[in-house]
Amino acid sequence: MADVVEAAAGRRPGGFRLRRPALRRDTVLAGGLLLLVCGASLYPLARLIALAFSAGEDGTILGTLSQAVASTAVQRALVNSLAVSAGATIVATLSGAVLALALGYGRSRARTAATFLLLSPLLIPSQIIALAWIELSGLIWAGTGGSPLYSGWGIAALMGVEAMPLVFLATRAAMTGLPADLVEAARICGARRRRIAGRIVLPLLAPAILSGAVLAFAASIGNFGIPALLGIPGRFPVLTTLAYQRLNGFGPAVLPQVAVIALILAVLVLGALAARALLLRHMAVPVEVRPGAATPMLTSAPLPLALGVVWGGVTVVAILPMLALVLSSLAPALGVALSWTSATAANYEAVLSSAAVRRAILNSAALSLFMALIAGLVAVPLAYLARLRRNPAARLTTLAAEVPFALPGTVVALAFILVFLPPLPIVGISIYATPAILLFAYVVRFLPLVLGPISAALARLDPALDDAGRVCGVRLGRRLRGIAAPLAAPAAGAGMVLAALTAFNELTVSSLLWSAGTETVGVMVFAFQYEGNSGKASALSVLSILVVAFLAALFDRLGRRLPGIVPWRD
Amino acid sequence: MVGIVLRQVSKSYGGTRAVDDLDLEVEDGAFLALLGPSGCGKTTVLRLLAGLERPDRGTIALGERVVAGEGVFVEPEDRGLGMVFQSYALWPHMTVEGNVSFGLHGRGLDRSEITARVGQALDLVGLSAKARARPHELSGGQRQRVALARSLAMRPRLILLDEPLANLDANLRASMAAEFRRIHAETRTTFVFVTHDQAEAMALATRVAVLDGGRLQQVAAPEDIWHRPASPAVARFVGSRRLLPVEVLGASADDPARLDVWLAEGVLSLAGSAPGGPGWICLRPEGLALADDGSRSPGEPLLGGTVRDGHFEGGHHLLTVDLGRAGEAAAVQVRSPVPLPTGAAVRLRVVDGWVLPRAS
Repeated sequence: MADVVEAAAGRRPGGFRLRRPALRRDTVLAGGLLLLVCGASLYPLARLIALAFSAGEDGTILGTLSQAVASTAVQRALVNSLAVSAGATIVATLSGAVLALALGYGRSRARTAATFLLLSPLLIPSQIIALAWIELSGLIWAGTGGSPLYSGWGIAALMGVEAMPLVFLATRAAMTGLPADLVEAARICGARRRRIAGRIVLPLLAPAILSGAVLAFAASIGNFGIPALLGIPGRFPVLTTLAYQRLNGFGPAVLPQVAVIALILAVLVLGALAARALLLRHMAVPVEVRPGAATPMLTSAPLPLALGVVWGGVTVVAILPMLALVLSSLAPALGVALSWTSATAANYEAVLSSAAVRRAILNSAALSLFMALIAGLVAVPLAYLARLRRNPAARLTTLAAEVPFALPGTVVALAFILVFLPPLPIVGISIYATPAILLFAYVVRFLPLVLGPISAALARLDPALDDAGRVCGVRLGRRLRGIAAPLAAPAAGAGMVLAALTAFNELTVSSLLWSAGTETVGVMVFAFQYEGNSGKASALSVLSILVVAFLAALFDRLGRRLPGIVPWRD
Repeated sequence: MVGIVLRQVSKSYGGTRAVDDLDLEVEDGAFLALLGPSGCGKTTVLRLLAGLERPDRGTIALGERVVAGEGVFVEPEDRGLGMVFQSYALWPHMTVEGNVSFGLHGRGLDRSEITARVGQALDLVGLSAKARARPHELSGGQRQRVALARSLAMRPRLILLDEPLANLDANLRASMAAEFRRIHAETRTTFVFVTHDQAEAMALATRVAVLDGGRLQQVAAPEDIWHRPASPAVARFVGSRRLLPVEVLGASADDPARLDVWLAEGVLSLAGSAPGGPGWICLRPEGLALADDGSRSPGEPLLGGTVRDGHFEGGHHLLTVDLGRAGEAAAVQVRSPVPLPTGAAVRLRVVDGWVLPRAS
């Protein structure tokens, strides 16, 4: 035994040599993933920010920044962005909180269906929402000339509808966390319903509602689809549309100026998210949550008023606009009244026979599919290292991966143009104007949607499951394939479907990165509407909503057994 | 034959020393219990042996092989040992067979050998009939057997068990303890297990190592730990003894194996191991008796006190008696055939105790 210990101290008898492995495999894998994610997402963003801070054409320090900020167009867009986002936040906060409370208090049988429909603005891309409301307003204000939607008010209202689910989800999550006995204790103390709502329920929900409101603000700042369809024809520029119009009109030469717009967008969104983190830290009271505790219910019977609010909300948010969209897609021609006899499938035929549309559908389908597969291949090992192995580099990587999803799509797309417009080093070719740049950008942007459910699923597992494999002598690769991947599979499937669903209709990134031949569905809807061909735009939108509905059903099926993955299930 | 050697092993987490300068040797084929209160570092020792944690300092050798030391660290994958986790850590998506065979694939064994080893391991734990079941279809005891079979199939020289009986109900505990003893005897593998339950340690182990505050207090056979604790920490933890400060006078005149101690104006002759000077006597409830007023032999010290609390324990009443002394043992426990009211004055005779040195 003594010689064993001596051997450890370096005095090794009998040529008994000990070998130290040069680098552990999981360290290598974690380092590789960190480099990959940072290289693909943080590096382009850093380049974009550096460009915004670069010297001006005349060589003045921070010339680019000061020139752009001095521009009246940028100032006007900034003011407009802030104004419509503030308006949208008010709309989203009021409607989201009221709907969540109404749904929580009035239990109804079709609860899941109502929740799904209220959350539909999360699944349906903003350009289609805008289109649907344009058609709806056309039905309401038929013949009176310009619809009031093409204004700051209209943009704020629609962005409010689109951001409503964020407040709704935050409020609902806080409500399910509230133990019923807090309300019961107040009832025993003799408090009436109004007093309980005002003094107990609302104060406890306030931090969640406010944090949802901040998310709604950040989402509205980065929204492109709604201001593109309403603000460009209505001459109401916001930051995202200004960046798009500048780049579209003047080409890559204006990149430095546009980089400043991206910087402003990033600062606004990251500032809002930082404010939210502060708010949650300082305002939230710790509520002891016991599993299985019911949500506080003022009455157990369905309240007619609450049910009326919920289904009224569903009608306004989902049913009416979708109905208007379907009607418009069946209308024979602009201005011709739609009736049972005049309804026609001509728009659908025209859309489906167009080579560009077919190409767009194929492109979007292929991009979504490959994006989901690549994101899954990156996310499973990353989540495994970060959650089961608690690897610090991998945990850092999961944080870095969130950045491109948190920032507006416009910022990500601009960063990609900046980095990938010049030919790549070594290979010497540029991936700009190829499907590769779209695929790459989609992976970077939607990776968090895949990573989130996998991370959550693996974080719930006992790390001993992996330790047991290590002690049994199983190598990293086999542990990944044999233990982590099968256990993460349901969550990975759900996350990949959710990402594919989101990417299929993507517009913000595509509108800046597409080129002839690499059209996407989102770009085609936008183009049809831009040309004034709302019938075709509606028909393609209806088709793509069907795809979204199919993928949402698949997502629901894959994710319903996993806690907290499918947002419309309790 | 040497099983396990730890030399000056230390491990800290964020400033707190979980394991502090630990020296420990375990013979091949032993059944060792690492015993101690929660937070004493025993689980850390187990994870250090498994390679799931890296020691900050010191050397660990398994058999002839140094697995952790200066410039050496063997990953758990390469240590070739077995481990039964407290949660069992069965892979929920695999059958019992799949769980047991997973570690055997990919190490150059042919299929028939793997099948044979899996069958043998399941036989040994008595679960051959459940080979195709999934973990969620098994009871707690069966899951633990699967976890043990998974380790046994690797044919390791050392199996580590983390609180092996903690998650089982009382009935199952006794039968699993018997199973562990049988399997240990049949396989002659070294078993090291962690427990905070002294009864569990005594029932299973051939050797017990008591840890406290990350330091090793005593390694000995279970009987020795029970009867002859080496330190105040062991005395307090094992047998829930209360400690009274005394003055050790030296070896007894009539029995050199015993020590005379000065307590309560009298001299007592007790077993123990301490030099002359300040000492402790360690008292279990069985080592004290109520002294009736008449029966005092001259010179025998009696401890006076008042009853603080008492409850019936089946067969006898257990009294907590306040000795009215400053210092550690403000109260001791004693058995009484009759209930006594709170506040009653009693006198206690020391029947049996163990003497330890006291750092003054």
